[in-house]
Amino acid sequence: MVKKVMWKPAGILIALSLLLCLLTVQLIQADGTKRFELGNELLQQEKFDQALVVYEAFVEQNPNHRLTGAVRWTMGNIHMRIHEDFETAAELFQRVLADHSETEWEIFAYDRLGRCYEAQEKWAQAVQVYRPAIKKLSAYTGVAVTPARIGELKRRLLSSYQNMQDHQSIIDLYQEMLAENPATPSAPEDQFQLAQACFDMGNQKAAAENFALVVERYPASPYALRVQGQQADLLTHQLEYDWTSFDTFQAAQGLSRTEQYDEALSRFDRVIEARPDAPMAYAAAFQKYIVQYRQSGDATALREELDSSRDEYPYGLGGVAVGQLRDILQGICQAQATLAVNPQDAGACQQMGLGYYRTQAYQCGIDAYKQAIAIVPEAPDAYNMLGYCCIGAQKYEQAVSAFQQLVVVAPDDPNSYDSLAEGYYLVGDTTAAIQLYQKSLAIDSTFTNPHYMLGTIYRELGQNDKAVEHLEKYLQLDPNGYQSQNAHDQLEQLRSPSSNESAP
Amino acid sequence: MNREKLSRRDFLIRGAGAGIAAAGLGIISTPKVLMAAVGSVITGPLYLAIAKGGDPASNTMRAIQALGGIEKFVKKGDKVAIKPNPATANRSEVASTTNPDVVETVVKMCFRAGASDVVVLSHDAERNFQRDGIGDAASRAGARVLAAISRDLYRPVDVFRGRLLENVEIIGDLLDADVFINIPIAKHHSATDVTLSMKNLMGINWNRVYFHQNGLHQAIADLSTVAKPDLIVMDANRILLTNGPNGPGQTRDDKMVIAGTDPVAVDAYATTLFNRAPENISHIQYAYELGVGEIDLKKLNIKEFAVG
Repeated sequence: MVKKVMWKPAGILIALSLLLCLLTVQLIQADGTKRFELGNELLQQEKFDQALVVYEAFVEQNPNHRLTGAVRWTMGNIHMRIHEDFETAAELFQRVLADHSETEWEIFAYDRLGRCYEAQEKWAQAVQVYRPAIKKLSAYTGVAVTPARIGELKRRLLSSYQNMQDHQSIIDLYQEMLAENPATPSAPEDQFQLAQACFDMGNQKAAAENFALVVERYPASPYALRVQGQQADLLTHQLEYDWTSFDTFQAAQGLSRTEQYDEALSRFDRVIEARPDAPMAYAAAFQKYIVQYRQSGDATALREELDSSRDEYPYGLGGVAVGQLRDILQGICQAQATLAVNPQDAGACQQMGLGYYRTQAYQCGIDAYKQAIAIVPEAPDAYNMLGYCCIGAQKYEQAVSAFQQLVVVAPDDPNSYDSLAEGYYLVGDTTAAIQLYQKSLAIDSTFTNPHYMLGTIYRELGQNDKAVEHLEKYLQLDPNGYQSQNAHDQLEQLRSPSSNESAP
Repeated sequence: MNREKLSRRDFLIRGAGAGIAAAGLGIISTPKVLMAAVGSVITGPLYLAIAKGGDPASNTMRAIQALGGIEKFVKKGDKVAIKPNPATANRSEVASTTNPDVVETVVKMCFRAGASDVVVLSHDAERNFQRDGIGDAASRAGARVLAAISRDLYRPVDVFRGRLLENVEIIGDLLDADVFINIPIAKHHSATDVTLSMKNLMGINWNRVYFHQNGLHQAIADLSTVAKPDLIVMDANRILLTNGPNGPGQTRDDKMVIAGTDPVAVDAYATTLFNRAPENISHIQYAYELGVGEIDLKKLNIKEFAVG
């Protein structure tokens, strides 16, 4: 009885204490969020020192708050970029790295931390950050890591090695990455860079051997073509390299894009039969599945092949970007599933057409877009992409015809005339192409592509002043456009003294 | 011009810009909403107003009214910047662009509240504004229309809270405005799965190529840390379910407008219209991690208002 009497108030006291604790926690939490918002507000007003004080108080009082990492990150950026206090910034980024491993924070913290060391010329420490970062990020499969991000880290690592004048480490790095996994999406580029590093060090034999590996292992990648274009003499001289298989491989790829499927298959067979155990044979074997897909449009079968036998290909798929290919195939499969339920879904036809276009299954793309047009005869995008599928299949006259229909359904759109101009340019009617590009610009003078194309055409015609005018305009309107590098290159050539001499 | 040229160049060279189908196909049900009485105003720290059943203009007015009316956001003499989604030169029936009636209604409400200037802007060509009807609708209501396709219209802004971005260039008229209203359309997108309010911010920024090449989702989330709208009015009157962002594709008439002030919360709710979980849309998750807003639908005060 006594115990019971004593227990009741004690229980109430405990319950009250718990309630108090809960309230305190909530108050701290609310206070923390308010501090976070206040810090952000001060930051927006560029009151950096005050923001730092508020953020520091937040971190101190809320060490386990879900936003503490974000706050440390922001503080690190302020120290790094405003105060140029790289040591403090590095400490904060290290903390983020330690507390948030295996999250997106980690991906970006490597970059910031390494840059803090670079700013202090602590090259060896920068290397210690970048090396594991590249490895880790190369294996990452989420959307936060793009090849551009990995490329940026690699550039930074290489630059750190260069500052240390450690050329051998550059070579070792690439060799290590390729030995570990020669099937990563970046492997073709890595192999190319390894060869280039050997070349830069004056080791021509090693350079040739590594350039040859680019061609042998990754014949479907653009780097293989680059090797053939830039280093063919080196390979011939150093290795007496025989280009027959690669030429056959390239020819087969071209044939498969232009509906010459049987001939393409037969050439890939020749590549395999010539050297059945060579890496290029694996790449050719996978290309045969791509030919069959382009012929049948059966995205499901190719996707299954990708999923089931990926491990059988030791060097990826010979330079094919597997992840992206899988996504595109899945999009086609989804569109086909939609069409199975509703055959009148023009959007699904277009989605399918786009997938085929992106995988260079141009004839399937043509069929899909024709199907879309049959359902909705006034869809400009369908005519436009139909034309581009025809261009891909090298059916230029048909492309012109599709673009002419595009002009009918979308006469006010400058893109209609731009596309038709491209069609005429490809059939060799430069005069019509120029007129149509100009018509496109008459509708919208800020439309970028006609400027680029007019620059290119006028350059071909030797009308350099006009070419310069349009290329400059293109770069002014779209400095980061997908043709900006080409525009820069053309302008450079036009401005070089030899250019004026060669003008008619 | 082939609008797919960038993709064509990238294909087989690098894996950028993919991810059509890999992200978030988990099916979840629409969260429970409370039916609120006509004329009531929602209060509380995190709230969304959903007006549905009426025409686009009525839904817009009701949703904003439920948040306390436009006067809560726009004061007399304020300069207002409005960002619709005119990103494709399609007619509004395709549902790839914001419904012009929604834009017109918001512009009129701003002027009624005493706004001295309303500009409807986006990094899109004038023909987009013309073809989708947004330009005419905005002009009719008295707003200026700014097709911000020239770099000199942009000003640099530092990004300190972003993980990827360190600076962006944002349309100057928006930076100069007292009030920023984001009016996106809810639609499918091949690269980000959905386009909602935060994705719509791409159109206040100059260099979109950098976004695509270096991590679209993270860049969108980072941009949201420096461009937080005062009000979001999401057009879900007709939503594009497939073949976004350009369409045409499958559409559904949801006859709905979602209004709120928290971009993460608005987008989190809108993902449910597409049977997606907000955590599976990376830029929404990333923005939540950066402290831009609340992703947990259970923590939101969501009220639904029947219109008409």
